[in-house]
Amino acid sequence: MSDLFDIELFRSALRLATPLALAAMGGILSERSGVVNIGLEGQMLMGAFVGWAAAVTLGSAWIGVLCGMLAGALLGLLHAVLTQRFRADHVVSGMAVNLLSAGLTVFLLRRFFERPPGADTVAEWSLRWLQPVPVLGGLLSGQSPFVILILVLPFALHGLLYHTMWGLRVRATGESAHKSRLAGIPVRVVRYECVILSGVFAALAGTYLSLSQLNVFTEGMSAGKGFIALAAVIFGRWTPLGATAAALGFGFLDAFQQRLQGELLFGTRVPSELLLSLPYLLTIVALAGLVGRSIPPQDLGKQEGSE
Amino acid sequence: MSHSDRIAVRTDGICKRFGLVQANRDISIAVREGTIHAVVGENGAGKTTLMNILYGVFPPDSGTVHLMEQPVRFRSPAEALAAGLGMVSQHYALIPRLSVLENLILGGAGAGLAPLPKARVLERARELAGVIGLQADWNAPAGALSVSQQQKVEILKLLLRDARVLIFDEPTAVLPPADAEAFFALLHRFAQEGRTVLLVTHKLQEVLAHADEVTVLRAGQVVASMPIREHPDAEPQVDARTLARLIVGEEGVLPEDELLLGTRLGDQPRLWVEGLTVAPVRSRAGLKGVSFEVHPGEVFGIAGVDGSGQAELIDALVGLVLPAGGRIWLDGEEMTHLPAHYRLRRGVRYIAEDRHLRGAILEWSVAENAAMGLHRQGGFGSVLSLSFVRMKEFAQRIIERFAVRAPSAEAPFSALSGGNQQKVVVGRALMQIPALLIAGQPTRGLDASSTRAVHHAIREACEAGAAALVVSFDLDELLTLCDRVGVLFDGRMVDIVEGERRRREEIGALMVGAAKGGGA
Repeated sequence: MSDLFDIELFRSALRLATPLALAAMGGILSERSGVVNIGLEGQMLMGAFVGWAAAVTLGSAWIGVLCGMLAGALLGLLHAVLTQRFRADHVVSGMAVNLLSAGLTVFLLRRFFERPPGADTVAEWSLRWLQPVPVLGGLLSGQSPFVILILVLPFALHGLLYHTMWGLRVRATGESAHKSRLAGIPVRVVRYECVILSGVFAALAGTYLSLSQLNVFTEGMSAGKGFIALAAVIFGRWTPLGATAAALGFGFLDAFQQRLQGELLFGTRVPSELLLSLPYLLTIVALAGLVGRSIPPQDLGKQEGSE
Repeated sequence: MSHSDRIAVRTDGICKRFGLVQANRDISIAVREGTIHAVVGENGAGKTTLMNILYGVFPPDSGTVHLMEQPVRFRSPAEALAAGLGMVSQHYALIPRLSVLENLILGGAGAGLAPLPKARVLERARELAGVIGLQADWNAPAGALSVSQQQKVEILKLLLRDARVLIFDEPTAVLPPADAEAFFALLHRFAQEGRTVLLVTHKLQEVLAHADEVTVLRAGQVVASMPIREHPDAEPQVDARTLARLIVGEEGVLPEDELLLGTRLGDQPRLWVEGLTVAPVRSRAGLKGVSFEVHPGEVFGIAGVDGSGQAELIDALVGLVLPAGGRIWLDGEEMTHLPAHYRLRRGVRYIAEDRHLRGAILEWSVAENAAMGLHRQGGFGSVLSLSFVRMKEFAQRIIERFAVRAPSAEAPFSALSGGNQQKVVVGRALMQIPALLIAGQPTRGLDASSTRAVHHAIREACEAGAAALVVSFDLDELLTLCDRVGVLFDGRMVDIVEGERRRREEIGALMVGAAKGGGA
């Protein structure tokens, strides 16, 4: 069993954690400002589709990524308008985003791409200078830029949230919209910014699926990763570093179960279906709040003026 | 040095209407710079509305505000603060889970991506903290601070922006007596520095002892505005009776303060608590073996500094928390582990200390709130149906008996002012004579005449056979209302005082653990 744990397992764990961590960053921004965003799933899916479609049409993976992010921003804006302008329930609005994405991506795919072509993918970074470094070299060289991003982005977001005026305003808004307004914070503006950015990050995670992990869009390819990202947010107690750690944990589990497929465990063959369900099972555990009591931002999901 | 002739704040013809209620009606006042100007009035007289208008929380329907002789129209509190006018609201505006320092920084200017100006704010905050006597861990969450520390942080927020006009809405409602003294010393200091203080309060003694001028509001209108003293050290020219008469109007003149004492009815205790122990949660004291009894006809008071175990005691008696040890009997029947609804059926009634959290549902109607908790008692229908007609009738009876100012029994609870909400909550508990009344700060935030009405209602219930347990942080209330007073300190009942020993000094000393040792 010792050959179960080789460097490739951890490389694969990083790759599988990447979309979760990216979307989780979006989840944190949105929820820290007080808006529940279960639309991450749909925003990820839309990002994957638009990113791939743009890359195929325009011939550049990076332009595809940008277009995907733009689509995510639009869906974020939709969620913001529904929840802030029209005071829709956050969960209902998020669900609407998910259903819209699921339907629209399938429709557009079948309408415009009879036989989905492969797109150019975002090239891996060889990072040759890193190769001599033990562990890190083996883990990171030759990985996608997205993978490198999830090791940098959480720290940037941490700095943003805890060490800038904007971050303080975001956190205050999520704790109490009313008190934040008394302190002169433009609550609406802050929430719009956060929810739109949230869509951008989720869509970025989506473009990673269709332009780096694969080179093609498949129907429903986000496959619940947006929800697992939300679980990582909760696991990580609404902090960028914590959520990234949680995402890495989920990624490792996923890689591990893939590795276990077909292996004998304690002398028996473990059904692959059971292994496949492992990350989802853990998600339920997280969402049920069994990992210690995690305290969400106080005004999370509340409509303004409803106190 | 202090009083100048400049008018710091002037309003002309301020009007504000909320739905059916005309909260402010043509209010014109002038507040001289460097004075402490008190604003008094009953609950719902329009004080807080006026202050919120000054602070830019919402705009007036009509009328103008001048600050330092300049016309202003603030669209937000931030604009008011920037112009030098700040307010400490009754419910503090600190965000509990942000640190003290973050709360101080929060309202300040600064581009979005600029780093938090921690060092700069901390330096100024330290200077000013010395002045106002604040000692706090700047990095602790604001919610972990004591009430008076939080108030000082709020004041610090205003001073950091160099506010020249400071508004305080019921600043001493939740302060222990000693902290209130220090607070007023601070106000005088502000006035001497040439700042202007607007003080909204129910406590006439505070007005007479500290204010230079007073404005009396009744039903949204100014009924009087007059000086209290010529200069800060002079004796007041106005007495409490005059003020009280202005506040309630001729028809509502109050009788002299009286002592409300009852007589025990029967030898069997109604409530008997023995060795009650509740595990502490978070920074609370818990209960450590508390024993006492309450007889029918008697009002038993619980005194103590906030956090000494009052909340735990109430929760255990109402049935919201299971005690770790000890027993509770009601009329000889043990109810230590009975669920709350069973206790309700046995006639235990509860006036919650926080009506928004526990006493009522703001979005529901007055009638629905009036029936809440009593809905299982019959009279409002059966398991399968609720009679809204009877609920309305019941609410109407409460409205009449307790002189609740409500548009109708069907109006949303949130449309009532705080005092009137409390009257409904109290009325619900007392319309039928309860076996045992548990009241947590039953008159919190109420004006004098409402307070009196609540006290009398509790007394009447006891004369008719109820036993009452009243938790209060207001010693005057306990001394006026209670036959015996048990003092909690750090989760223990350090003493029960009655008769001769039922005095302010005695209880005050016990409250801070300065007399007698050990618990029951």
